[in-house]
Amino acid sequence: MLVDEKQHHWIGISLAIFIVALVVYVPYHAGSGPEGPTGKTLHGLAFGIAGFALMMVCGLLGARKAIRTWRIGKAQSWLRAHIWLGLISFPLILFHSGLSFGDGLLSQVLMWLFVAAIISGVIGVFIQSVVPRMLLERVQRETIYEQIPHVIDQLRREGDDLVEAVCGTFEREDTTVPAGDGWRAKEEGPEPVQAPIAGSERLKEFYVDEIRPLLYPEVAGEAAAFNTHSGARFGRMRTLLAIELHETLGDLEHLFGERRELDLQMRMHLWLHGWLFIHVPVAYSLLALSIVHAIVSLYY
Amino acid sequence: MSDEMVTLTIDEKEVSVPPGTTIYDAARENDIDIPVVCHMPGLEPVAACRMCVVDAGARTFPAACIRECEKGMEVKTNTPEVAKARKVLTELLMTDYPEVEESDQHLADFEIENLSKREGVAPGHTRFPVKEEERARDNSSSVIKVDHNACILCDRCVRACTDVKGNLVIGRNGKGFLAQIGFDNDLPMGQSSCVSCGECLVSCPTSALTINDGGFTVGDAFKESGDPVVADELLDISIFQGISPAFLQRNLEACVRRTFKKGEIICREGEFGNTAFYVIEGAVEVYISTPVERQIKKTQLSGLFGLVNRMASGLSQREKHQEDPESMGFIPIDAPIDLDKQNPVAQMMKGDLFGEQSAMNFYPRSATVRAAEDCVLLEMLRPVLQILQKNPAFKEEMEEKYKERALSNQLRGMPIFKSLTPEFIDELREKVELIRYEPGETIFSEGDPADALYIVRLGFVQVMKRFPGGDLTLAYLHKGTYFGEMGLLGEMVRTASCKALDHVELVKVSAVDFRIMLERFPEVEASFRKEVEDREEQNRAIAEAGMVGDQNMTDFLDQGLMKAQSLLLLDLDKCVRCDECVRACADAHEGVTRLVRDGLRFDRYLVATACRSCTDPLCMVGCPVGSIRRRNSLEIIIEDWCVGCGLCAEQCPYGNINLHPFEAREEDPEHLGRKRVVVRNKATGCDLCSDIGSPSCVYACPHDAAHRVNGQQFFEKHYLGVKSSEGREN
Repeated sequence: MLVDEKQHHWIGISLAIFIVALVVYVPYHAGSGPEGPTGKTLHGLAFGIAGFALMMVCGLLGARKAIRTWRIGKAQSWLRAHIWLGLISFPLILFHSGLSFGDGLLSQVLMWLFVAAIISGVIGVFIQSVVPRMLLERVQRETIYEQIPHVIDQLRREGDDLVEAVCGTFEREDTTVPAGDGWRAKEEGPEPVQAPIAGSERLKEFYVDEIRPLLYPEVAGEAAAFNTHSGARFGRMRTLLAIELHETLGDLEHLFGERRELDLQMRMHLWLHGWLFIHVPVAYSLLALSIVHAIVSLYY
Repeated sequence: MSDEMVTLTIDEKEVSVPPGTTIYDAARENDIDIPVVCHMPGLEPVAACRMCVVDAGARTFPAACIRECEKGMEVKTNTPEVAKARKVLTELLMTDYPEVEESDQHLADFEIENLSKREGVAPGHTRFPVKEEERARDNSSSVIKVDHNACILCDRCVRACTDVKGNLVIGRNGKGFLAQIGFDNDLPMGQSSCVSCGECLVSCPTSALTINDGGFTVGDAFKESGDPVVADELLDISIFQGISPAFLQRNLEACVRRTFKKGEIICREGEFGNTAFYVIEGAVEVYISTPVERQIKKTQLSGLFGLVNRMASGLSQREKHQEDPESMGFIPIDAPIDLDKQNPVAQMMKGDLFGEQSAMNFYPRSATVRAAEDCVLLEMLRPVLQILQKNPAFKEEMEEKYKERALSNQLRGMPIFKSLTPEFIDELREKVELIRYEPGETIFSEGDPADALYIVRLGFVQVMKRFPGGDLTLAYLHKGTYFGEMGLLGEMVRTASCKALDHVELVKVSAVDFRIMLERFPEVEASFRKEVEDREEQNRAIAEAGMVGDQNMTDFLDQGLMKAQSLLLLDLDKCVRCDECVRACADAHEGVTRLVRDGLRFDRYLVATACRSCTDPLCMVGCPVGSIRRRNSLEIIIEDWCVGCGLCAEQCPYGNINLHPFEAREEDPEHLGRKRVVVRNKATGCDLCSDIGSPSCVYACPHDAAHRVNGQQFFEKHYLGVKSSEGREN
């Protein structure tokens, strides 16, 4: 989500809550005894309840997402609330603890979890503000993420057809494209030639040994490594090959370019959503332990 | 200009016509009758029948439909020699012309028969031998019967199909005596690619193409909404005069008479409408409920999108002084009147037609209309309007009404014409023409002689200029703007080409009247010259800037997005590819998503594969069980009784309707009384989640990336910089 002008009122609300809390906290802090402010006092308890309430509201975003058809406010409003109320809950909890990370183990674990949740969340907001634009600019042939392996398989079949058309047949595990297998299958591929073009053996070797192994979904890392010097490799082949093979080589380079873009999309997708693997468990652990903390503190 | 007129005499009457005018057109304009068979206004003349021969003082008689007037020419249309030649030609045509079947007699108004009566030649009773072989009759089409015996090979149907409609179905087969018209290389008409538009039927002067039994049928809901009408009743109404009764008969179901009590709402602003209304008795009041000022404020305050690219901003500046909504004093609506911006209420009386644009383009109603007193209206569907639009009497009447009611307001509302006096506007009103263009039609091409100024009354016009590397779009003009002045103030040659993007209506001010206006109003001339300078400067800037931004507009138009009423756009700057929109759609529709987060792109937007609620939804055409329909709003719904034939999915040009399998229970034919589970298909498309209030895809997007927008308003707002239209963005 871009932090744009639409968030102004949420920023305003958060700032207002913070200022009110600060106005209450400063005299409370100054007037507290030698032990300093703690969560056990009325003020401290109030800060704790307020902070915990905001944390609970933030936690409800997950529940909101699970019931998408309910008309209980747009998901974007919930996300904005999640971001800004989540941020402001941290100083409230700090006020609750008297600006300390607590003495007990549970309190310290809670505070460190909170820090982790806040930092991962802020990083998440930053990533989700920046990466979509990078994806838009750098991946021209983006496809649906789940379809990437399928598209890579299609690229391999296309590459095989291109090479067979000028170099003759070679051993491949999938000689035909299944009927109705996406729009690419409907496109007319190059007609196979009866005899290989003279000198095409080098092109076949290049394709079979260097390019084709990278046209499998599971070799993303290797494709990325090849990517760094692929321009030079294709350039060298262009020098070595007869001119009538240059068109096929150009098509292969284009096809490999798409493969590289799909790799890039996969990496960016990981960036876009990978941070959630930290943020979500940390946040739910925080909520669960906060409930335990509240019960333990009130009971004892 | 008057020096260039050609003066000649026709039947001793001196007439002056512009160069290039044919003798037939010159005679017609001067009320001199010359019979024609193979020619009709609106078609290219071919002089196939020679029935229009005249004596032009030459050795042979030329065909008046194709021969151009020459200076000093003396034309005689009815000398004894000409009459004799015409009679022989009539005899030849009528020799093997069959007698009209009894069943068709009451429908027949075939021109060829009128001609035979006028010349006193009865079908089959001439001096010439009648051919014995019977030619084929083709009843394969459910709409049109073909009788090759009655065809005189005038080619009117061929030209109507090819030139007027562009369907390219009818042509000629065979040579000499075996020559006849054919459909798609001699297929039976019913098996050809004929779309049954009826243009050939209307054009045929004989009984070769007649109505087959059945005719146009509409749903019961429309028929039951009013009282039925008969063809004779329609022919008494001025706008229907001159239309073939046969064709009216065929389309009678597409027309009902409706009575409204005072105060009753006839149609409501914003609702989807596919009919037009003609006031037979009484008066109606037309108004819009949303004042324009409020709309402007609302649009300015909103702004879900921040797309302002160089091109768009260039265009905004380009039209700033001619399309400033706050300075326009009128609101153009789908009626022969415009509404005053400050008080958007007006009355329409007997003889007024409204709702035409809604019916023709499937646009939402532009205003609310209610009965100002008890009134009787004729409600018409598209086929009737299509017939009307070809009728000269209708065109003439509509043009008159527009000139009387709306033109003055439109001219006065345009800043550049503000200094014109009411007297001059009245004078101009009598001279201007109202011209319609079909989508894609060229208005003029670069290099053509500049003969007029055009003011856009309705629709959008694309302005393009040729460059060595291809055509570059300079501007998209919308209602209330004008074009053509650069050629008129320059070298009298068009400096760019203009094309209609949708159904466009233009006010044409001739070059002569334009010059008179400039001479009488120097301040108008100064404004125009300033405008020309500005436009030239902007065109240079656009050409220098290359296609930056313009490509986005081109993509937008090429992808047909203008016709979308509810596009699902994903802003890829914000979209984190979380697929919440897809999941929400699936959740709202029993687990089957109706959108795919993939599709065409333009600018930074992804046009998701989901129903766009097109203004002209092709998917609705031909559903055998009528299960796909549109509600009185935007959404297209597919009812449960869909039989899964997939026709709608095939018809949708954007692949936005899909067939999904589901389990159904049906009688087991092998075990009577028992049921078995079978897998059936059902077509599914986006219904805008109308049952739960708003589209779930937009509602569930946490990142403010998914938006539902109206294509036309989005285009106006982001590419033309128009602020007045209400952007419907969810």
